[in-house]
Amino acid sequence: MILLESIVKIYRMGKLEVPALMGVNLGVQEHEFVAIMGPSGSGKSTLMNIIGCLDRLTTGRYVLDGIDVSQMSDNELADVRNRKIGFVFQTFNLLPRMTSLRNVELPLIYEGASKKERRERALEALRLVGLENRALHRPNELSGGQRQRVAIARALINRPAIILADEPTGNLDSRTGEEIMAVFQELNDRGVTVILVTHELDIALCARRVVAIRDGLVTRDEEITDRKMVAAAAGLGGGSIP
Amino acid sequence: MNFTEGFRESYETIRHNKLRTFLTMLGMNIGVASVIAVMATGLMGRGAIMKGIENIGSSLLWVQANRDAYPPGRDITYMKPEDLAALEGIVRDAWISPNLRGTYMIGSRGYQEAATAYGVWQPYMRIWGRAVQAGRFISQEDVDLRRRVIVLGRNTAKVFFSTEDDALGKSVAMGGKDFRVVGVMAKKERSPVDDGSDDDTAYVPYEVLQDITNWDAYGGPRVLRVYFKVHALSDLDFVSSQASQYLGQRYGAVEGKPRFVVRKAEDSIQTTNKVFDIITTVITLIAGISLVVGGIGIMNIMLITVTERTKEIGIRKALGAKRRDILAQFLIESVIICLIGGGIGIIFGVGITAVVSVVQRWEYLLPWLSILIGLAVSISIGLFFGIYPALKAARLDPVVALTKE
Repeated sequence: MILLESIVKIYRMGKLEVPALMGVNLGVQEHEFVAIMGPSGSGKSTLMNIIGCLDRLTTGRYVLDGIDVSQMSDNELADVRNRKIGFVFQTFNLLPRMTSLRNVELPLIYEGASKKERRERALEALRLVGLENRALHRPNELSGGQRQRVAIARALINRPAIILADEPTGNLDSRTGEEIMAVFQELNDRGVTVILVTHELDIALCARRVVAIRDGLVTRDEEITDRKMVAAAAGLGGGSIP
Repeated sequence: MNFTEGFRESYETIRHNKLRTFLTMLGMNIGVASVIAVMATGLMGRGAIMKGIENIGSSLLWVQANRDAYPPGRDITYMKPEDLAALEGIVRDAWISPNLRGTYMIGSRGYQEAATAYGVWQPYMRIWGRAVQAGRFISQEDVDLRRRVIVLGRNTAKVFFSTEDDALGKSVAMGGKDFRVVGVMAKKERSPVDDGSDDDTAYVPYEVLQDITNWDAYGGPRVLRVYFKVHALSDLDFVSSQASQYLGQRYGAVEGKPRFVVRKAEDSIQTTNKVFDIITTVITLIAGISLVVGGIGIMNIMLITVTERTKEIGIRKALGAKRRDILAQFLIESVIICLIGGGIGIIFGVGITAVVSVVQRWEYLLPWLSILIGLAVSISIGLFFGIYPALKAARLDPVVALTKE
């Protein structure tokens, strides 16, 4: 599904070169649920931007769903984002003036779907996250958890190859956060590939595989079999893990 | 993004920023309204002029001294009364009248009033398409018999008499002689081609005015102008050349130029038209400046909008919006603002035009061309001043835009 080979990303700030990723290798299979962990400055945001086709890599190769996207133009990348990737952000990033329905429809507008098809698919996606009765509410009429569900519905609308969630619980209280993580787990159980970026261990442990990043390199990559053991090995301190 | 979606998005944004959009539109309103008002008013004014010209017709010409040919300080040669017979003989099928002018005090019943007296022949009224309000104009008999009769202008009559009819048959004094009032002129409409007379003018037979004028200072009687109104347009050039030839033979030239010129009403019409064109163009250009100012206002507000909505642009790009989608969205928005602003401006402009037509009593012409131009200009301004902000939005880097708060 995803294949990253020796990914290097260097930011140029004037004459200064700041390396963010220094040779990352990572493969993610279909139906996986992967958490990418790392402290701030580790390069995990850069990695997420590259996986999400928002940013270009300096050297290396990135194959997404069988297509090499490393050398694509801006327009082609926009198409890839539209069709293959569903984003879920920490701050939800819904458009405040639009109803939930319109927000969920947005990717389909850029895909060029008909009005009727947009409506049907958007309602279906809202139903999937349990918010079909909030279709005509605007974001400021919804709770944080509901907003994030709308965002998840928007991410799902184009039946993307992967859902890319960047600190999706960062702006939520822990109970709502758990509910949102349950939604991701349910989606994953239905076969959706989920990549989660977080710095919270207990959130990361909801995934089935944890990839740790530090200083632009993958330092650990483990399947979660025993949650406590992974926590200890990651050296990130225990969490309130059941 | 297709147009329907673009319009919908713009509508929502504009609705959300009503006051700001309204203020931005004001510039367009004023600009488009003034351009339309100026263009349409110019058109109507020209229509009114053309109508005035039809009254006088293009078959009018007159002979007068060629003042421009004389160097400063040199005495100007005028036609003499003896020339009238020769000039009259040039063409049979025409109305002809000489013209003499002088300012006199007119007195009656102890009142005194200054008036310009015109000494003319009987066809003068028809040459200029004038009409009398009461009584009659000077007749051929009056001219032949050198009767001391006078036709008063409307204002002059009002000074001495309560009504126009009251003036008829009464006596007024002018230049030390008594004149009998035989008529009062109707109100004079303004016209671009004109003999200079107005409602304060009085008309008397040409020879009578010549007799009461003191010519000592001028070295004998002179004729200022001779008017011809030919009945067949084909005679116009013939009269013109014959008159020039006759006067040329008799008086010779000055500094190599003829001493007399023949002027055609048509030349004045063309000059008036040209002046009108220039004035309309200049005012339209000045009004057009306000359009540019309005356009800069649009650009300013669009730049602010793009900055404010950087995050939104980032989100849209993350969801798959291409550069052209973002470009279209902001261009549609600026064009819509301009179109609404221009549309309101068109309504105002048409309204101003209607008011002008009522006040000036000009025939109302709905300025279709100006409306079309107004719409085209609105769209162009929306595109021209919207393209830079829209490009700025379209070129935003998605990562940078998304992280902006």
